[in-house]
Amino acid sequence: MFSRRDFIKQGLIPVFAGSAVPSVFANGLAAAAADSPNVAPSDRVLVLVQLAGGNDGLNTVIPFADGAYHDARPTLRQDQGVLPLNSQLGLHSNLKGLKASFDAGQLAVVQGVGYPSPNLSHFASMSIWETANVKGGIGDGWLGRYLNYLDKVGESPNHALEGVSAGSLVPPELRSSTPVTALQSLKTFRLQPINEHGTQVDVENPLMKFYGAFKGATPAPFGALLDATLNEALQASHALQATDATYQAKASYPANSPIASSLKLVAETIVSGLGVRVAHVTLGGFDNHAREKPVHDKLLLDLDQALSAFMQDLQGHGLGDRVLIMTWSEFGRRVKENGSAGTDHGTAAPMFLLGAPVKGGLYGEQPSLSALDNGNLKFTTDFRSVYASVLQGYLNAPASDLLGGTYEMLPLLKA
Amino acid sequence: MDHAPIATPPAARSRPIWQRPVSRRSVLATGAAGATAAALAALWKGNDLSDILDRVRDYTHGYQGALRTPRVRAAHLLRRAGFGATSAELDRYAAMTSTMMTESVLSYQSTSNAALEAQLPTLDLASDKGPTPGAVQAWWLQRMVQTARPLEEKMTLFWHGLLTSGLDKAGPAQLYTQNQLFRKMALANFGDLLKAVSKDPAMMVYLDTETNRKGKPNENYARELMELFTTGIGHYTEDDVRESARAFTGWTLTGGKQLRYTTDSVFNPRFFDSGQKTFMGKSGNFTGDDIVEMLVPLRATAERLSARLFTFFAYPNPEPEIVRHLADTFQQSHYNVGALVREIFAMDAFYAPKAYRALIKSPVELAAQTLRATGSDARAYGAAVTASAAMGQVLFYPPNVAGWPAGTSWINSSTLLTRLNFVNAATQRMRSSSSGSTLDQLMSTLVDGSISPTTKDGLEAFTAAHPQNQAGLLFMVLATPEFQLN
Repeated sequence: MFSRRDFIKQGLIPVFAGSAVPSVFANGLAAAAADSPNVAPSDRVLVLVQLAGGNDGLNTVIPFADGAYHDARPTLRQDQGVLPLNSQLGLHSNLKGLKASFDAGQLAVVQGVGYPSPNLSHFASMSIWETANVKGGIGDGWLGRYLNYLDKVGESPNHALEGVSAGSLVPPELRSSTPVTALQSLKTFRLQPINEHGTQVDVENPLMKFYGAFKGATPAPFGALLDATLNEALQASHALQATDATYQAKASYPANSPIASSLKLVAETIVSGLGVRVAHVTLGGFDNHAREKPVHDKLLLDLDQALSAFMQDLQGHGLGDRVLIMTWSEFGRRVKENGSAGTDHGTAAPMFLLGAPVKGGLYGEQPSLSALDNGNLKFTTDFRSVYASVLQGYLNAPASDLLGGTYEMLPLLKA
Repeated sequence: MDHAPIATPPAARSRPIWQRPVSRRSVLATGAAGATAAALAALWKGNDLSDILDRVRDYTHGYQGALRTPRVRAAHLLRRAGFGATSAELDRYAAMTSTMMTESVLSYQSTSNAALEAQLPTLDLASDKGPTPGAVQAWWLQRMVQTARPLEEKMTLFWHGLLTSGLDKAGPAQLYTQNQLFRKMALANFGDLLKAVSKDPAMMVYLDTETNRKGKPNENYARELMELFTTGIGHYTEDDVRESARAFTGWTLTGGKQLRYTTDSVFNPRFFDSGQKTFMGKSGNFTGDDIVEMLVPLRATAERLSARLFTFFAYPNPEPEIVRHLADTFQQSHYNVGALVREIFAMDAFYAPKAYRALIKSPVELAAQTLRATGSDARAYGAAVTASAAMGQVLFYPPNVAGWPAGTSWINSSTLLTRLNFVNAATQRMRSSSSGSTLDQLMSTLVDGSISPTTKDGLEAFTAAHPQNQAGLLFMVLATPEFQLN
């Protein structure tokens, strides 16, 4: 069987003719409609939600019963309306949707997630999370390696929509030799023809020749990148146009919320049956060194409302069983607030896993607020343990190969 | 076949890499020849003789030798030091020596920008909230398109990408003020620039120095000053971060407006932590300026800034010898950025085959160069700002404090379609009277007359099939892979 890269290399799939829908797209919808309780791994989608800038974990999952929390956060502490998960911990008052999911057994909260020798630089720590390489954060993204694995074992849907990210950039955790797609809108994802006195002149074929010829020139810096990207783009846009799925949201997404728009786009991509396997969205703005409270409160509200709408939309389309959502952030914040009513860079923080495939509950151990390392929490669960549990338990992929090590499996998912 | 190795003659090993001559013969004799032979062998099988002849023409007269032509050298410099050139500018620069070209680009302060200033819309700087974000963004893009001092705008863009601040926290009037600071100090002493930026309102809001007070230190600016603006990670400790944060206390915003609309900063001794600080092994009652003066002379700072500027102007991942040489130049000039930029343009490496088309046009570079080719009216700048955002770059809104990742991250399936669709829309907007160039003129001005024979044939075929469609032809040239590169 050809791998997708072979196809692209040999120019075999730039165009899906007319309305012929490749089977991979057609069976996506069929499988979706069945809404089987035993969803095949190949129909499962992982959606990553990046909370960029370093989310304040202590004001997300709040140790409200711990006096040390109140001492460390004289102005930032949350003491009104915390939504209790047990006698010690509760969700921020703006996370009402997540609380409902917790009560329904569809939210796993993994506490104190981090890694050894934490790095307090945004970018160094992001790279570590993105590559799952704690020594320098170099290499392919951890999900890029998963997509490579699918290609290797012949499970790849052979088009660049198996990995999508909402926005204009491809996030590092999806990067590898396997192409993925940054999407801003399904409607505009096509090459416009040129206009000649009101007639449209198609330019795909000449441009493909230009890009192919440049790739073959000597030397041609970025020639292969440009040529492969144009091929992937045209291939993916043909795939999009070939599905006549008319997506109608089955939930009301909040207006003026970039994270809601991003998740709606991901929902549209999943519902349209395009074979997406991993998706990535980003909510930025968590680097709150000053006047944190109003900003952080709003971010959590936006996150909660967007996730609730996304879940409802997928359930409305009978796809709830097929999608696992996972949040991550490069680090949490310092335990003690600073003098600017904000928090500086910290270490461990909780992760959320959300959706019907999740076995809800609290996992791991809440870090001590008194036994600190330079004012920062000591992590209790390695993030690679969470990755391994998702790769192996949900995506049915060889976690230790993909992560370059063996980590404790957490029973985060339904069998 | 991509990236055929470029051989250097063994005899020249003693010279630094950027001074080694690379003759076309030596290139053809080694790496490229292998690729050529393979390509020709493949083509023989197809019996396509005309294609073979085209390929031979390409290998002997094409990209490899392009930078040996004075006009292409001029085009290369004016793309890198600015936003492309008109045919007349290319003619003027092609008549100069390389040194004259460099001096002409660098001595922009003697060139009047009155024509641009007269064209620019008036920004509302008097009202409480100042101009809208869109107004300031369009204002800057128009500057890039119409300036008579391209290097000034290019360096302003460089500083915006290194010493970042963004609209997610700072207000538009603050970013306008910072932008003017970058423009004024575009080629200044690096320490002077860092001292000014430390007190710049947009920066003070973006990295929280405005809340950094005695007894209530805020680490944000101190950390990024070291991690991103000077030495880079690995040259300081967490204690250095904490201690230097104390040194940057004392500066606050003033003027009675809401924080993000305030464009004046002032030193208030009551907020300054005048205690002893220990920073990088030295102790004293340091101020923020003292910290900058300790960071700027460090070798790590010189090497990091040198590599970053060389990557911005020439090609990524410069050889260690190049970085060493540039860092020496920078330190010997007492941290003068103008001297560093001059040396980059003076190096053979800047005009080496390796540097040719070795950068991907950033979205704003693509937008500015496209509008210079199509001509532009007042509405075009706002449209180009919006399109740049969809291509991955929002002016005054870098994705985070590290600026834009640049390089290959500019190209993915979404951004490539957006680039092509933007160029399409820009050419459609042209008035028919503003066109009229022949295909040869367009190719010469926009892609150095150096494109693959297949593309040239394709463009000729387009001209023959659509003789009246000037906008379409310009689109086809701007949509080539060659034009996506800088």
